Amino acid sequence: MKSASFKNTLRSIWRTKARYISILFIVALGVGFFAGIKASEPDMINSTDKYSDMQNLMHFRLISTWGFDDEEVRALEALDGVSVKRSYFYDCVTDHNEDEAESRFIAYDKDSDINQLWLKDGRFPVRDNECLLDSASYLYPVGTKISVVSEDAGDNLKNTEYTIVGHVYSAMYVSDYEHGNTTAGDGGIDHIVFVPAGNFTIGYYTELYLVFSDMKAETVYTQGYKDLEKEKKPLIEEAGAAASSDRYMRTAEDSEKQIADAEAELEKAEAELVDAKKQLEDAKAQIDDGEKQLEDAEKLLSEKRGELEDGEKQLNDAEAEYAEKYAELTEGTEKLMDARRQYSEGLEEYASSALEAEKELAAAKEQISVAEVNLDYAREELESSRESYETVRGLYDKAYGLFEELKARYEEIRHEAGLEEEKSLLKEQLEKAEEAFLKIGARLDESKAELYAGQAEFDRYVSELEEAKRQYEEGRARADRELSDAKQKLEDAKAEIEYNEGLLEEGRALLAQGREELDANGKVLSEARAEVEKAEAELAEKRADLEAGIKEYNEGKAGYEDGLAQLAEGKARLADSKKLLEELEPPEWFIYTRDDNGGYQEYGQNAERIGNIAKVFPAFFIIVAALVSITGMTRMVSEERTQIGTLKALGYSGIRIFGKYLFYGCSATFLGCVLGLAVGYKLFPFVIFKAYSILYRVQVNEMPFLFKDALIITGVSLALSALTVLFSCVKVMMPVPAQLMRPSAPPSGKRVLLERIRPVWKRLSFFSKVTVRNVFRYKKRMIMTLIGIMGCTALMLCGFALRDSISDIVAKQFDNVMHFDAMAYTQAVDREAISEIQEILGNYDKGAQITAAMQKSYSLSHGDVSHSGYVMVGESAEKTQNIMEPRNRTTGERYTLEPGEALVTEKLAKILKVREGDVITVSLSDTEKADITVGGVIENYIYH
Amino acid sequence: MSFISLKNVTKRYRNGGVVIEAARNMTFDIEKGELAVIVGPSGSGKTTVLNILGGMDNCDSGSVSVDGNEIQFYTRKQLVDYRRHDVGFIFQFYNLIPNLTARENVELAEQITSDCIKAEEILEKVGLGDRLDNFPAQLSGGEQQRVSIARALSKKPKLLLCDEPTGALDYTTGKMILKLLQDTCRADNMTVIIVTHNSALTAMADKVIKVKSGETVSIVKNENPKSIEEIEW
Repeated sequence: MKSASFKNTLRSIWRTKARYISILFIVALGVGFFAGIKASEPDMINSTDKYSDMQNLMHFRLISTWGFDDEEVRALEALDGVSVKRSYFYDCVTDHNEDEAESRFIAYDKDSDINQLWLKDGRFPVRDNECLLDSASYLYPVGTKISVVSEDAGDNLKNTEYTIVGHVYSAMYVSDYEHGNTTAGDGGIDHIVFVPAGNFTIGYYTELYLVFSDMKAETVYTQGYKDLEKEKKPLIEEAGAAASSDRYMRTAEDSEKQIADAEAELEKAEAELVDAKKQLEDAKAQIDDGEKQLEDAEKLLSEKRGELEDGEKQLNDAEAEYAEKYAELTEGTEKLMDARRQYSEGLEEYASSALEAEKELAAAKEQISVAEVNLDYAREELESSRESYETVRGLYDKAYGLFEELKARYEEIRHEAGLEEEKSLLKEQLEKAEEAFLKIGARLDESKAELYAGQAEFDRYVSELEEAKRQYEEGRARADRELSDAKQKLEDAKAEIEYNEGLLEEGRALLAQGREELDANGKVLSEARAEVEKAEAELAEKRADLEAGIKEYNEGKAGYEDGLAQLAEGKARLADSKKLLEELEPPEWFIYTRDDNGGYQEYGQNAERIGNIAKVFPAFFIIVAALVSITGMTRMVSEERTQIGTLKALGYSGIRIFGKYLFYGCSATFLGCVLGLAVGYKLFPFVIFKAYSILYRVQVNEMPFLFKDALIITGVSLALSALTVLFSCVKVMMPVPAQLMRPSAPPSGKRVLLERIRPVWKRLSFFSKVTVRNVFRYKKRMIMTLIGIMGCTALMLCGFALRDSISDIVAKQFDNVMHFDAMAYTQAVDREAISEIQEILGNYDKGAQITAAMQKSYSLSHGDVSHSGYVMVGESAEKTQNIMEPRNRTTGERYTLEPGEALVTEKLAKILKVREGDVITVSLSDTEKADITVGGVIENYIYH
Repeated sequence: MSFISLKNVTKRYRNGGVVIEAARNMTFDIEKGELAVIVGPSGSGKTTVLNILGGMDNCDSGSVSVDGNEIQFYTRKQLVDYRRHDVGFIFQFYNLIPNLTARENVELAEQITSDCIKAEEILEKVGLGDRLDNFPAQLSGGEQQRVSIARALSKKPKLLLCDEPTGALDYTTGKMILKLLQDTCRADNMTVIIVTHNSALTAMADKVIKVKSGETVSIVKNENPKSIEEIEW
């Protein structure tokens, strides 16, 4: 059962929930802020640690001027707790669609667990021509083909074209901007490309990665880690020195032996070549002999061949002539035959045409007689027609006369009246007469036409007869003429034929004679040809033999020349090797730690920075939280003054009553802590992670709930809270209950100093006077207000200061401190080379000022403190000012470098605890040391 | 020896530079089971003397003996015990805890004592059996004062100290409260001390102690105390 007093406490909390919650939240805010910021550094570090442990990130990266061989690796593997990854890298220029970039190709070895890759997307390569792209690079999508365009690609890589199959995060490259430097292209590395290790055709390992088990167990960035790093480095150096000097010796011996072997070989080869030369000369002489013989034979043969060809040509000509003649003869015979045939045809034609002419003439005669008969007949008919015509004419005339008569009579009586009967009779008769007259008229016309027709026919027959008679006469004449012509022609043809027959007989005889001659000549020639051909075959054989000989000779000669060239080359190589051996420097090892990985180091520094913020910043929140708590509690206690009195009167002890307020304050604080821790531990590290994830690609977000810290924070908060409650309650716990029952006497108004200044005091209004007095009357409140405002102002100032300290440093450092715009690194060079470089660079930009400097890292010490730092030596004291402003930050004094003096940055001065005039010892090597006086402490904000 | 015996009790207050003598050589005795009324004008030291009696304040000199114990020598812790077990207080303004109901206010007293009367029982007794779960703000003045009395009585105190119990009440209600006190005194043989400026109340007392300017003016034993109903003012 909850007791009444506990119920009272709970109800008090409920009644004053605003106050309770405000305490809770201010505590939550303070604690959350404090815990969150405080956890950020370890969270960042632990995340990196876990990430690098998961990926098994190397602790040391080794590079050697010679690369590494297995012997050296074995020497390293002899170290305690080490595992070594042999790897290759190759810097080159790559191209994708005309987009050239500097890339570092690193071996991807799926069997090694050191420096594992975190696959972002895509897959790991399975084929040799597939690659992975580090996501810190510009991201070509998966499937993109990139090709290596550097000329020396073939010496280093098997394939020059790769397909991106995935994107990875590499713990080696946590920063987006820090990829290291390269000698390829413009010196910066754009892409990190991982290709299967089998692609590298380099004869040695270009880099080694070392992982130490004890270092892995340590958290990165911690002192423990750094100590281990310091401890391991000399071990590696020692092993490296031994192994590399072994290798040097081995290599030197090998080279010497190789050179000696090569020399012996060369001598042997030279002797062989001399022999070969002699043999070649002999062979040459033989060949020349053979060639001469062959040429003579060939000459002879060609003469013979010429003769043969002449003969053949003649024979051919004769043959052609014979053929021509023969053709002529054949033609003549044919023509004769034709002529004969024509003649006989002509004869037949003559006979038939004579017969035909007779026939035609007979037909014409008959026609004439027919025409004569016709004519007679036509004449008779004509006569009869004329007779009938005359008859009709007579009739007609008669009828006409009658008609005329009737007509006249009719006319006579027509105009006389009466006689109608007569008239009509007459008329009728007239009409009849007219009719008859007309009828006879028609007949007359008919017979007239007949007459005319008969006349025309008769005339025609007459002309026909005459025509026929004329034709007959013509035909007779023509036939006579033609027949006599044909007869004449036939006789001419017969004469010609007989003449030609004689000619042909003669030709035939001549041809037969020619044929015989030709056959005899042909036989002679074919014999000669067979002979020549046989000789030719023999000759060809001989020539082939000779050519084989020449070929052999040439081959021998080429071999000899090759041998000579090889000998020369061998000699040159030998000389080179000798020179190389003379110049051979022992391998130099470079040992890089994780700190040499720019991004990695920066990340650590950033974590440290956050840690530093955590040291001061959240303290303000705690103070503010305490103040808010005190104010709230005090107010509450004074409000419940009477109640406290009553409880006391009832017999409650002071402790018991105090317990209520303690519970009130502490429960609020506790809940605030829980809330603050829950939120703070997740929120702040998360926000800081998120912010840094723009720059760094640490893939692990370790945000553990730090129980130990949480307990301490909660404990301290509760103690603080209890203290504030005690502080608030002490005033009401001490007095006797009777006093509490009375209203608390307000502090008596006091005279303030201002009242003494009458003229001012007089002018103040009543409320102003009250206010002024109250300020001093309620000191506690005033102090609370002051501290509260102070805290908040400090917080805000802190925020602005944080922002400004970051943004202003950039401007200050690069505008005021560092004067150079760009820095170029070269190998160690002498002064002459420096001025040459300056001249070349100066040609690019006439206004450029170029200052040469040496920069090297040394161990610097003063007293028992030692620290490693860069020593920069400018080419002259004045020119050093071109590099950095030699100014003191606080006094603004500008230093001038004096001989034997060095300017030291503020941070280094602080670490080494040196002031102007102190002496710093620079360890040049293990044995050499140099002392240098501090000439001044100068402003600098970065690189420390 | 009387149940309560005050001898030459003197109490001074220091306020700023001024010293006020609230009680001066205050001396009186009260027997067990008596209903005593301490009467006097404002500032006469009657509340001071009541506080000293109740262990709420200490005296500068003199002796205070309650049931044979010299409480002026009590340590803080003993005083707490004394207040807890022996004294019941009733205030002019009831001083109930506003966050607690009538029952819980009584339980507040119960919680710290081993031998006590159940809250329901005592509240029933003061006539508030049906208002157990009301908050003070829901009760009238008389009811609140009755809760206050119940709270004081639940501890079974030897001594009931009432500081102007009717001061904030109207006539009728006041009478009802006084009746309750008188009845408690008579029925339970409880020693009850009432502090008031109303001299009319003296009629109901067994003993009337008049004080003025921190001194006892007269101590009168009333042989025939009247019942409340008979008193008018």
